[in-house]
This record gives sequence, C-alpha cells and structure tokens, in this order.
Amino acid sequence: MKKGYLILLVLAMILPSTTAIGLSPTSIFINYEPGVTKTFNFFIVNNLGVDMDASLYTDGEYATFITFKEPVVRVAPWQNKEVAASITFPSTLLEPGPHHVKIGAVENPANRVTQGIAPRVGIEMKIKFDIPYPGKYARFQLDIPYINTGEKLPVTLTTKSLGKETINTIQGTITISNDEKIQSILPVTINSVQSEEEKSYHQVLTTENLLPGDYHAQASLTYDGIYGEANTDFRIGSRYVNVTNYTKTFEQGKIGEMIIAIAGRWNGNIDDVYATIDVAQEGRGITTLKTPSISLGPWESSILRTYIETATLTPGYYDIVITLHYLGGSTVEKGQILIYKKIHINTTYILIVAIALIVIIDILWLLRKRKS
Amino acid sequence: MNHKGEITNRTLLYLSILAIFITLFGATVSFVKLGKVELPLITGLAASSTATGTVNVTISNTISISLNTSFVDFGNGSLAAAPSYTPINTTAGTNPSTFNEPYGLVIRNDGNVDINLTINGSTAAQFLGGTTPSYMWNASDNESNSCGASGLNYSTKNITGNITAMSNTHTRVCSNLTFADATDEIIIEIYLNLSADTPAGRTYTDTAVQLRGEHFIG
Repeated sequence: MKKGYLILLVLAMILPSTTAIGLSPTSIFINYEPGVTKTFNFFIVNNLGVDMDASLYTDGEYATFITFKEPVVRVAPWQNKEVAASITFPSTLLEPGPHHVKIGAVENPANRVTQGIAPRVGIEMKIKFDIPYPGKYARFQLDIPYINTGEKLPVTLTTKSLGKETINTIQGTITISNDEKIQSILPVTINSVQSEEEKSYHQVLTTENLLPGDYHAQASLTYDGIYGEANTDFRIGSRYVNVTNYTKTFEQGKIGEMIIAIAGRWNGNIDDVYATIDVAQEGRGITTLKTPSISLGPWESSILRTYIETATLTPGYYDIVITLHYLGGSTVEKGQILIYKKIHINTTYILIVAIALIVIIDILWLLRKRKS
Repeated sequence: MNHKGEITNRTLLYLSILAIFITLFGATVSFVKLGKVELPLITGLAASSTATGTVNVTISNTISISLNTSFVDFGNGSLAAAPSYTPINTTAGTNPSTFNEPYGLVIRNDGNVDINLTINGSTAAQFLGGTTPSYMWNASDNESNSCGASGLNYSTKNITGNITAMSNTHTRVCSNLTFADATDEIIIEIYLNLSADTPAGRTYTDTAVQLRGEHFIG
C-alpha cells in the first residue's frame, strides 16, 4: 500500500503541471505558381521540460493545398522541431488577390491527467500567397516611423505588382501634412515593375522645418494611367509630457486619492517622471503633495497617484498647480479641485417625521369626522 | 695595486652591464611570449588597408503560449436542494460544501509578438448534467495592462471581462495579449452553476477546452 502511494507521488511530480506550445515564424509568404508544388519549413517550440506531441491541422478555403510530412510531431524538452510541409497550387484559375491558409498546432493531451476542466493550448500561423490580377495591378504601402524632433525622417514607399502584366512607370507624389497644412511634397518615379516583383522608393528628409506633432502622409500615384494611393500617420516627438486629466472632487474628512493622467510625447523612454501638486486657497498655501516616480515608454500614457488629507480642509474650491518633472524639464498645469461635504441622512429622524405626519393626518381626519 | 689572478674593477663593470643586458633581454622575451608587449614596438596607423566585418542577426517572429495548470479540478461536494443551484468557481470566494478551491487558468504570452487569444469548449449541457446548468468564464489582467492600455473599461478594452457562456465556437478572450515580461499574463476564471438534479456518482470532465493564440497582423 505504501509503495502504491509512493508511485502516485512520483507520478504526480513527473507529470507536467503546465501546458505550452509555440510556433515560428508567424507567417510565411510563398510565390504563387499554378500547378507547382513548393516546400517550406517551420518550427514547433516546446517550452516545457517534458516531451510534447503537437497535432498539426490546416484551416481556410484553400486548406487542402497544404500537406505535412508528419501530422503529429514529437518535440523534445526545451527544443524546437523543424517541420517540413508543402503547398500545391492547382492548375485551375483561382480568384485574384491576396490569400492565405492557416496552419495550426495543438498540444496533444496524451499521457496527461484529465479531470475537471482540462484545457489544451494551440497556436496558428498563416501561409500567404498572392494570385495575380489580369492586366496591371499595383499595391502600395507607405512606411514612415515615429521620430523625435531634429532627427532624419526616412520615407519608404513599397509597391508590389500583383497583375500579370509588367508596369512600365509609376509616377506621383508623397504629400506630408500637419493640421491639414501641407508641409512637404516629394515627387516619386519608379520604372518597370515586373509581375510579382516588389520595388521601393526611399527618401530621407531633414525635419528642421517640421514642428513636433501628429502628421499624415499620402502617396498619390498613377501606374500606366491607373490611379493608386497609400496613406500613413506618423509623429514627431518632443521632450514633453502632458497632463491630460486629474481628479477634481474630494470628500471632506477622508484621505482622497488624486489620480493624474499623463501622456508622453517623446519617441523614447522617459525615466523618473513625477509630479508635485501645490494646493492653495485665496493665495494662501495649504499643502504640497508629491507622487512617486514612474517611467514612460515611447508615446506612452500613464497615471500618477498621490493622496490628499481633507479632514482639516473646509468645503469649497481650492487652486492647484500640478508640476510634472521629467528629463530635467517640467510641465505646469493650473486648475481647481472641490472639497465637498457629504450629507448624511439619518433614517431615524426621517422615520420620526413620517410617524409625526401620519399622527397629524389622523388627528385632522378625526376632527373632520367629528365635525361632520 | 693589481694582483695577478684578481678581477679588475673595470672587468666587474663590464660583467655587471652584461648581466643587466641579459636580464633585460630575458624579461623582454618573456613579456613578448606572454603577449604583454608587441613587437615591433613602434607602430603606426595603416594608411589605406581597412578591414570591416558585418554581423547580421535575424530574429524570427515566434508565437508561444503557456498555461499555469493542465486541469481545473473542483473535486467533489454536495449540491443544494432544489430549486437552488450550487455555484462553484475559481475566484477567491469560498466554494460551498467540500468542493475544491482551484485557481483560474493563467495564460502567459511566451513569444515575441502580441497575440489574439480565443477560447472554446463544451457547452454547459454537453459538460454537465441536470436541468439548465451553466458553465461560464471571464478574463482579466493577471499582470496589469497585459491586454491593452490602462484606463480603459471593458467595453472599450481588448479583453472579455464580462462573464460569458462557454461555447463550441472560438470566442475572443483578449485581442492583444502583449509579450513584454511584466505585462504578458491574463487569468480566466471559471464559473459553474450545478443543478440540484445533476446525476451523482460520476466525474464530469471537459477535455474540449482549447485556448488558441494567433498573430495575424496583415
């Protein structure tokens, strides 16, 4: 009997208490060729210290195009297992445009304790391919990263020919605007793009004349007389953190939590951001509060917290000055907070009044009845 | 006076200089062998020959998720008399009777991309017996901001925070589970409402629950 318990204990220690599965990469692009079979590989990731079986499947309209060498893959502990697969494109016509097939892997529950609710984990990736359009067809993508003021601005326009015919010339402009005002216009020319070919236009701009803020870029192009466009938004950052909101009302007699919402406008990390809050009434300083420091990521919004003791403060409006400190600079926001007194309703008094009213009504009713 | 067979002062001087020279030479050879000194001792900047090297590293996108447990076991217990139902769940509150207090399902994004997470499983009728039982779940951040930015409520956030019935079809749990170490965990709580006429003497198991992660940008 004791031996049996020991075996159970050992089994409980060996059996995995967690489940996990991984897949890499998250998508693969295959060049489409009708009637051709193409092979590709991907990896199943085992992040556990025990063997894992993964069942593979496909999903989507073109799921039958995919074949796996092995439908179930065993992966050793802490290892990646390379899986070979192939895609066979039919010779028949398919609908033009971008398509994909999903490939999924589900952790196999074999040899696992299953009682109660026994979840499995699975992941999916995409196998993508483009079916060429008849004639000429171009897809455009405009990429402009977020930068900081003073830095160079790289502008990249990528075009891919998804039609069966070669595109001779692509011409047009990239317009950069801010608050609906045009800041810069770049002429674009790309020559000879074969079917399925991808070409890029690249330009680096100086930003001396561009103020920090939010920008919009639009590429308006014609390829052999056909119109196409691409759009993107980007930002130019400055060393600035903005106060976007803060708690404005507090109940008297309590320790009130003051939340200050802030938003970073810098394309990089800002460490050691904190606020001091000066509270005053009619020009007389009442108290100064300070929040703990936090770190902000690029363009990140977050909140700062501090607490205000309102027991000694009389109800009314108070002037506050919030000063945000960061990167050796500061932002000042002025405003007001309201300390209010909560009216407590005593139910005993309400009941006494109600009973008194009923008694008065009864007396009045009795008097009236006697008179009549 | 110079006696025959004695060494003169001059000879001693030469021998001393020779000894110092041999010592310096030996020390230099030793340092060169140890790599402390490089010869030739006079060096200069090469005027025209420059060798450069390039190291390229490409990191593949990997999608990977893990669960804290391979099963949620409520154990066994007694049911409330009809028409009441017996509610048991994985939250901090105490379950009635002798039912276990299992922890919820903690899902962690172990990959290097943000993922969309969905769940499916058996319906309440498929999983449990008795009259109109319920089998539900809801999700919340186990590490703050794991599923989207802070300051958003559930109606605008990317997480299904309201209690939702388990379904055969995949339902959104979190549409943006991030991968940074401090913000990569969410928790799914399970809620069961057991009917008083749930047949006793058998164990109810749902092996159809699947949590699926996908990274489908573009």
